[in-house]
Amino acid sequence: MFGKVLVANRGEIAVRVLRALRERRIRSVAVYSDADRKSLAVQMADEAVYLGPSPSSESYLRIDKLIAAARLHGADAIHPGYGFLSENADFAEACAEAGIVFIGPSAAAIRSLGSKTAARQLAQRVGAPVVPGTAAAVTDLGEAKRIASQIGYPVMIKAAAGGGGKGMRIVEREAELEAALRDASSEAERSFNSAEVYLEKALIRPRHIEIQLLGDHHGNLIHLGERECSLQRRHQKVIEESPSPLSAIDSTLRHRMGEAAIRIARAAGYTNAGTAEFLVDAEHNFYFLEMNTRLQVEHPVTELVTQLDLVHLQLDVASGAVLPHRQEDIRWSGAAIECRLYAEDPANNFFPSPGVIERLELPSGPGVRLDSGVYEGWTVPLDYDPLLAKLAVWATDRPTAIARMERALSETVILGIRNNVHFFRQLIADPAFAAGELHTTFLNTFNYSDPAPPEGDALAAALATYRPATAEALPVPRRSAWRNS
Amino acid sequence: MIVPDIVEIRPGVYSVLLNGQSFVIHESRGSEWVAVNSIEWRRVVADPRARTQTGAAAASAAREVKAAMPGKVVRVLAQPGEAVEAGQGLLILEAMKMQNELRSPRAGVVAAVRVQEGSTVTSGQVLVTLE
Repeated sequence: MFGKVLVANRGEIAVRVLRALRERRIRSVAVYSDADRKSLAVQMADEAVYLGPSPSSESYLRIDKLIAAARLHGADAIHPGYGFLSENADFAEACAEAGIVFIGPSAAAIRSLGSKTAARQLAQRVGAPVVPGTAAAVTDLGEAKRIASQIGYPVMIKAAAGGGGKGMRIVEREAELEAALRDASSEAERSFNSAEVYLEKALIRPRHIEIQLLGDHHGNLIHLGERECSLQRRHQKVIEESPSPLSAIDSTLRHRMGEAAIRIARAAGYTNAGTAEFLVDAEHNFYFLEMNTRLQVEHPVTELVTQLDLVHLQLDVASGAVLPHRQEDIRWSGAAIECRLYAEDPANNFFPSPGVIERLELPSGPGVRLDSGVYEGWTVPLDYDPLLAKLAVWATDRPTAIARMERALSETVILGIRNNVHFFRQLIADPAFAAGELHTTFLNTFNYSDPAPPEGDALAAALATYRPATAEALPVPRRSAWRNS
Repeated sequence: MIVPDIVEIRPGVYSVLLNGQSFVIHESRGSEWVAVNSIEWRRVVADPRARTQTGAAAASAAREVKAAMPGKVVRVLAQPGEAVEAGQGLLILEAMKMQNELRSPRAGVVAAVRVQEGSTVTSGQVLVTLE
């Protein structure tokens, strides 16, 4: 096992990995930019290295600085987290050249799966179903128009190097194609340094279900079941759960998808943790979308239902150990749900809301898991993704897990920055969510409204006797304060 | 008359017993935000604009669409002279790795678009003005 590992990331995922390192009694090295000097990750790590100015292009995306930091501190391995350089084959290669273990798949496997177009071709070769679309990147408008009319609108434009919904656009008709191609490709260029985009047929109200994979360097490759991630906003996942509510209806789904995912991963010589993403239509047909060659944001729900620790297992297989579990050892129990708590304003088109967290109350108690990267007093920087924390719950079944999530959210207070806690309270209470009728466009028609005053008048009166200054503020709902801003 | 029982748990956090019901109130440090039983409210009186904005200032706020944070203009959706509805998209701003549509606060006619696609903008910068 490694003696020291550098965590090439920030926020909640850096904290998540640091915790695993501490549990394995491995020394840890955090990295930080100007904006992150006071981060939780720096506080929790054994050692910390300054990378540079806040923009990620000058800090968390600098391969040279990360390798130099690992060398300086004598780290044997680098854990890339998710985002940033986690799916960058050049980074994996630079680590290998420096004699540092990259905790993830090989550069070759990242290359063969990292491009969505290459991954599609590979999936087709091994007989895994894919969504109809282009086999390669689309370069000119004429070609795009021809292909789109061939597969039929609506079509989806996607960044070949993409992830996290960046560089992605849905196009309903030909007139929208040109602008959408331009936007998607410029967003892809900025996010991934590659403007390559391709076209896919957009399925109607599909579910997004993904399979967690894990492979070692001895030819063992297993899956840890599925995660349902259909609730998305602007192609960003919002709530994830395991098992999928569809698994309760279709008992063969997990096995069929797991087999297909393993075939694709095996063909790519895949090792370490990875995720095969699929779309599932109303008839339970599944189509391979892409492989995420890293640990996912939503990995905790899989951990909760399998009782396995994915980061521990990543460390094991990266250090050369044989996977300690065979496929037939994997058991699933109960239901897990995760909410991604973001610094964003649900009443204002989910606009990001950086700033100081002035007050923070976080939930705990039975069945609650919190992966947080923040604390009271922390300033959420405007330079990065506004994810604050992931709130996950486990219970024996889905209805109990939903009730538990409601309870955990009711214990959560985040003041000073706008956040989506109340949005989740409404979403979790939605009858369609409870019924498990999920699809990727679910949130397009879900209407969020700010809360009604809770016992407002009575409380205002109560507080007036205690402190007049507080009373004059109550009970004005937040939205009205925002109307003119 | 119901007499509330209020105690301060720690600075900015209060427990209120009212008519046998239990409430917890959290105040943000600047007292701008209040949460009653975990449900958040923004205090209108703590918003300096709400307190001081009168006449001309309020009118100018309704005429100007400003950037809420630093970012980059990805697309301009409305042109000068164009009539827009309340809530109609005026431009797309990329900030914190996300693209966000800035919408018109009211119906009106676009007087000027003060930025171009690709412009880098600062927080509070006026992007679009309405007639």
